[in-house]
Amino acid sequence: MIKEIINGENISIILFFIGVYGVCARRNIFKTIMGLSIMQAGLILFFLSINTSENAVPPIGPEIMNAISVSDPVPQALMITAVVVGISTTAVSLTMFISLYHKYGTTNWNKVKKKRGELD
Amino acid sequence: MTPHLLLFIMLPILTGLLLYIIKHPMIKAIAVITEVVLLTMTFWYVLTIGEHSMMTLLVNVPLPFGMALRIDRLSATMLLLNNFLFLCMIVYSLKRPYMNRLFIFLFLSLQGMINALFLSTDFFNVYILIEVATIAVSILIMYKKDSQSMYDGMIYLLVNMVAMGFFLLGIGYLYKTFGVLDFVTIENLIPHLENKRVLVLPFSFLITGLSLKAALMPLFSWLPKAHGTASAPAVVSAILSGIFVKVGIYLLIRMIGIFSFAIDLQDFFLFLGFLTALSGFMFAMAQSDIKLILAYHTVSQIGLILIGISGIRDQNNFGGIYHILSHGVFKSLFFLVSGILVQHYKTRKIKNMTGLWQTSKHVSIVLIFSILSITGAPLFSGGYSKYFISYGNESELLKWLFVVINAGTMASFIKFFRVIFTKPLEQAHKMQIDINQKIVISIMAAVCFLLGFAGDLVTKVVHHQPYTYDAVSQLSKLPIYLFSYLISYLVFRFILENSKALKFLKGIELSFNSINLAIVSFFFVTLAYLTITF
Repeated sequence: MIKEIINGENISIILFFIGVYGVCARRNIFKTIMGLSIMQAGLILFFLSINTSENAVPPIGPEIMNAISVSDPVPQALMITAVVVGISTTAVSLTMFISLYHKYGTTNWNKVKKKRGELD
Repeated sequence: MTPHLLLFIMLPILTGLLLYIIKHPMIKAIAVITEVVLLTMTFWYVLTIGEHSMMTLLVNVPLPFGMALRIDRLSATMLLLNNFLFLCMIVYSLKRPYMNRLFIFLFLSLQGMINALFLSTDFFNVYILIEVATIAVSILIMYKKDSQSMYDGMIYLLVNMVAMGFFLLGIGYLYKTFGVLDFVTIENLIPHLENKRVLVLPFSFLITGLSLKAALMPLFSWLPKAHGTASAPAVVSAILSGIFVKVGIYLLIRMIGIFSFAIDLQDFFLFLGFLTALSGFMFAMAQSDIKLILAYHTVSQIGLILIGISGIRDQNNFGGIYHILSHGVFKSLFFLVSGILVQHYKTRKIKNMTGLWQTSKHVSIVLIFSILSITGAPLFSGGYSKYFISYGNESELLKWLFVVINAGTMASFIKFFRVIFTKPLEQAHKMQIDINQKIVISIMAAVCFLLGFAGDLVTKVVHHQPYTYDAVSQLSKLPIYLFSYLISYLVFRFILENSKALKFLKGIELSFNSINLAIVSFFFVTLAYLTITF
C-alpha cells in the first residue's frame, strides 16, 4: 500500500509544493531562490517519472532489441534543456541577489521593499 | 519565393551577435537594415497569408515527433506589430548613449525570441523561449544599475520563474495524458478523449502561468515595477508594454482555442477582464509618477483586450485583437514621449512638468494624438477597437461598466492635458530632440490616427474581416465623446482628485511573498471553478 503511494510522481508534486511554500512564506531572499530550485527539482523528477514502468530498459544500447518495453526518451531530452535553463536562471538570480545585498544591506524582502519605497 | 520562417528568429539574433563582435561607428546601420528587412518580410506574409495557415518543418520528421513553425493570421498580425515596434525603437535610440553593443545584442535577441513565440507550435518550446526572454528582459530592466532597479528586476525575474514553474507542471500533465506536446496534435486529440476531466488540472496550471505573464487582475503587481522602472531606457518600457505583455494574451488566445472543445471559460475570463480593467485605471489615477501612470494603464487596457477576446460575438473577438494592435502602438508612443519629458524636465513627477506647448509644439501634438487614441476618441485607433469590443452589448450592467472604464481612462489622462496646457513655471527653454526621434514619434502618431481613420482598410487587408465602422459613423460619436470627457473631468476635479481613497490606493504595494500567495490562490480558485462547472 505505502509502496504504491511513494512513487516518483507523488514525491515530485510534494517537492514542488514545498518549493511553493518556500517562495510564499520565507522572507529571506536567499531562501526564496532555494525554494525555486526545489520547485525545479520537483518538476524534473515529475517529467522523468511520468509514463514509466518498472521493467523498461533505457532507450539506448543493444538491449533495446529484445526488451519488452523501452522508457520514453522525450521527457529525458526535454529535462536536459530544463536543467540548463534552471541552472542559468538560478545563477542570474544569485548574481542579482549579491548586487542587491550590496546596495540595500539586507536579505529580507520586506526591508528591501521599504528601502525601495524611500528611494522614489 | 517565400522567405523562410526561421529568418524571423535567426536574423535578429545573428545581427545582434555580429554587432556585438564587430566594433565600428557605422555598424548600427546594419541593425536598421535588418529591421527594415524583417518588416518587409512581415508585410509580405500579412498580404499573402489570407485565411489559411502555413507550416514549416524544422527537421525532416512529421509533426507529432518533429518540430515546426506555423504562421496564421493571428500570428502574422502579432509579428507585424512586433517588427514595426522594434524598427521604431532601434531608429529612435540610434544616437542615445545607452545604445552600446551589449544593449543591441540583448534587444535584438529579445525581438528574435518574441518572433519565435508567435511562430512556435510546441508547448515546451514556448516554455523555453519565455524563460530565456524573461532573463533578457530582467537584464534590460536593470540596465542602468541604480538601486531601485535591482529590486524591480529581481521581483520581475523571480515572480515570472515561479509562474513558469506552474506552466511547466501543466505541460507535464499534458504530456502524461497525450504523449505529445505540439498544439496541432493535442487539439486534434482532445475530441477523442474519453474522460475530459483529466484536462482540468493541466489547464489550471497553464492558465495560472499565462495569466501572470498577461498581468490579469490579482497577478499584475510585478508589472508596474517592471514597466515603470526608472532605470530602464524608455525604449525598453515601450517594448515591454507594447508587445511583450501581449505574448501572454496571445498564448491565452491559443490555449482557449486549443481547449475550446473541452473547456469553456468564457464567463470566467469576462469577469477577470472587467476586474482587471477597473482596477487598472483606479490604480493609475492614484499615481503621480509619469511612467507608473502609463504602466498601470497597460493593466487596464489588458483587461479591455481580455473582455474583447472572451466576448460572445465574432466582432468582440476581432475588437480584442485589433486593440492589441492599437494599444501596442499608442502605449509605446506614450512611453517614448514620457522618456523625452523625463529627460527635459529632469523629474518623473507629472505635476512638475508644465508648459509643454510653449516648449515644443511637435511633442505636444504627438502627445495629444496618443491621449486621444487611448481615451477612444472618434477617428483614432482606440476608438475603433473599443467600438468593436463593446459591440452588440445588450446587458445593462455591462453597458454601464464600459462607460465607467472609459470615463476612468479619460479622467486619469487629465494630468497629461495639464502637462501640455498649463503655464510654464520658469522661462521655457527649447527642447532638444534628435531628428530621428522626431521622425519616429511622428510616424507612430500617424499610425495611431490611420488605425482609426482608415480602420476599415486595415481590417480588410490585415485581418480579412468584413466588419466596417467608417469615418462618418465614427464622427457621429464625437458629441458623446466630448460630453463624457466633460463629465469625467468634473468628477475627477471635484470628487476624486484629493480623495482619501486614491491616497489609500497609492499606498498599496504587494510584497514578494504576497505576489506568490496571489499566484497560488489564483491557481486554486481556477481549479475549484473548473471542477465545479465542469
